Amino acid sequence: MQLDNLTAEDLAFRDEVRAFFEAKLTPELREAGAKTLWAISQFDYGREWQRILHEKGWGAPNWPVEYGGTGWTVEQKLIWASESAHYRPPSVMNMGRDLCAPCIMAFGTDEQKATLLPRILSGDDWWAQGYSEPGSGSDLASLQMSAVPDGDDYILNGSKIWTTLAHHANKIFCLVRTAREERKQAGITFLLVDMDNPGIEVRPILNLAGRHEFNQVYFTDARTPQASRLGEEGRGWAVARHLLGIEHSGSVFDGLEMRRRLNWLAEIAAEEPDGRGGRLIDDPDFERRYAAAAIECEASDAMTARLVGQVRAGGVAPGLPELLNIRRRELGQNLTELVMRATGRDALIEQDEALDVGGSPAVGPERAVLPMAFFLAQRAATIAGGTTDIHRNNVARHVLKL
Amino acid sequence: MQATAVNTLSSSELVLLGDSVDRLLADRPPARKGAGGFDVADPAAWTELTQLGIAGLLFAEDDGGLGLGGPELSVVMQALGRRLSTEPFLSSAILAGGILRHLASPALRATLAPDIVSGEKRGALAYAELGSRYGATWAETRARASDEGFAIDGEKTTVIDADGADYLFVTARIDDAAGIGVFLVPGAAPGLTITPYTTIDGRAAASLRFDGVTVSRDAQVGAAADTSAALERVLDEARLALAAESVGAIEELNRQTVEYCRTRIAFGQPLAKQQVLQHRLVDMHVAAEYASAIVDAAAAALAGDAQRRAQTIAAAAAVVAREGDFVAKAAVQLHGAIGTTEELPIGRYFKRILANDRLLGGYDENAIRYRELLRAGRRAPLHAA
Repeated sequence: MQLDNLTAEDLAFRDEVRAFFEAKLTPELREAGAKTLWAISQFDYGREWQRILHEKGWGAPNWPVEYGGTGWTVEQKLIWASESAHYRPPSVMNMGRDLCAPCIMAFGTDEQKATLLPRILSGDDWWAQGYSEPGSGSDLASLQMSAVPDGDDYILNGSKIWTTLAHHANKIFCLVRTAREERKQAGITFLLVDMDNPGIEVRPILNLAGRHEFNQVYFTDARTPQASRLGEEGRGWAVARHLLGIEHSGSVFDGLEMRRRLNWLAEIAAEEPDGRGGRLIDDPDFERRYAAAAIECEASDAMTARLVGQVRAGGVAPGLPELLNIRRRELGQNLTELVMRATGRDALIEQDEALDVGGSPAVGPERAVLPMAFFLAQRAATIAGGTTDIHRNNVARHVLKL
Repeated sequence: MQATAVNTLSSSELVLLGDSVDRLLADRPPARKGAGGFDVADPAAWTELTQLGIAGLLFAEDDGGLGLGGPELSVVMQALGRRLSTEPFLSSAILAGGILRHLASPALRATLAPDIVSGEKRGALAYAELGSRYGATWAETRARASDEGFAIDGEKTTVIDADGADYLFVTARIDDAAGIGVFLVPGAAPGLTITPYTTIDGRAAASLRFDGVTVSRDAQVGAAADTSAALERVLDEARLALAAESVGAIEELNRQTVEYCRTRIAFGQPLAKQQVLQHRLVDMHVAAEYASAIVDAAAAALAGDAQRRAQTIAAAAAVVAREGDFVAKAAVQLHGAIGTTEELPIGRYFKRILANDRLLGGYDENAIRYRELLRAGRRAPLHAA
């Protein structure tokens, strides 16, 4: 989207952001960023980047200033998002900073805030999300993992699944059942668990792109202090809802990523031959598809502008981000599919190691390494954080009041 | 060419403007019903609307207008769409008015604009022909130069509100030259045959036949070299206007369809309790949000540079046409058999959305236009990252 009417302060801030990226993004970090997409991460570089941001004081732009946030204006956040989309740092999904911390701020004790938040900001603690279970996905409140009080501790039994990057995490926030009540939402408790405790085992689940992002975490008579509880016992669903609200709304600025994928499509098509002596980008049928995708990006930009306008005016309409996420996720998938199809036959080559930073050289053209993996990994975009079907249920209920 | 949009309304003023148009139409006594159950345009209603100032919305204050721009045009058209208006706002204030704003000399504009703004007179724009499809500047109508002026021969089609217009702006190829001229022709000129009809969405329209219609030399509006850019500009305003009108219709369809699904009982419960129908309704609302957001973007782009304006409006027209088609068909489907009749307004909204799509181009035509603009932009990029 276009950034119009920037003030002199905004322009100075943009220069500062650009200078920061230019100075801090080493070739290695740039390579890591290029090889990062949702569900394809370069964890070590992602954590390093979080440390670099923290040093600059930009570790958590969305946090309140009192906890270490930046206090940026909407324009500054927009500039940051826009420049980030351009420079592509190797950001990694940060469940601690983006999901757990807001809950700690809302429900935590002073001690929890003081001990946990700084270590999230610095990247010293890395958090996994213990929400889904093998039998409880979108129907989250049916979860079964148990926590039984024992002295000052809880004893944990059960398992959590789709725990993204849990193999790198030293902490996990878990929804557990401390009581069985008639309403399944009652009797749920929110715990902040140290993963070093005995009785916790992490097993990998490879995604369709062959990457190790997801895990299943098993708890067998594992212990956690009762002091690690966030909020009251049996009232964890309120915390869970708070977190889901944040997760479902996504970022106002997520749409900027769409334009980047569209540009990627144009770059690939400018290089790909059309099989008749020309380039794919000049092929009339490709051009038609490209224009159609560009029109969708115009619509996505228009929606970002609408959301930004609402933020400026004091707040986003309730339910709107969730409603929009339905289509934005589908658009994200469609764009990666167009890129994959534009890449042609070479996209078929299995080359997982070339996806790693400094990994083995590409077989075939360099441009063919990422598209298939990104396409395959993106199949989860309409499932993770609640399937788009569940989002439709939620919008029907909470927005349309059906 | 005249500068536009020196004034802007705040967001609360925009809401008030839309509400005042909406309220005016809602509070009027029921209009006479014409074909398909649409309101027949009523000169008294048009007079009242012009008293709100809307016919002068895009005209400069010097011409008696309000000097407003895209966002204001958009809210007015959304209100007209919600009320399925058939008044001559598009034909006179936007299309004919657009020629005055973007092609006419200051002298001609000063002569004609005040009466358009006040509603005293009506103009219409005759550019579409059987062979022109959705191109703005394809004309087989000929204007042959003579000592006295020009003799015009040819045919125009689906000219909105042509019958009864005080004057027409007519596009014609001048002799066999490449350029297209625009000519000011009185509504009752000798040699002009008007065949009136209504369109499927209740608008008055007509086919025009010109048999040696003679106009003076000064009836040519602007220089032939300027007409192409001016016509595209005028049509961009009209495309934005129709897209906004369709958004009004889409939102009204969604409102009525949700209401119907809440009250209609089948299999012992309201339709709205069926998950498959809930998901359809959610998708209709997603469609409406996107249509509305991209019309906002297009409205904002109206005042921008030509390439960005044209591109954003083409994208908006394409997206609105597609979303409108989806919502309109789904609304009929969810209403069941009654939705396929003239008993409910549902079918009239369906037809208005379809008519807007076919009048100035739907998804395909605007996607083609967008693609051509992209190609032009690729040759000469106008925007740095």
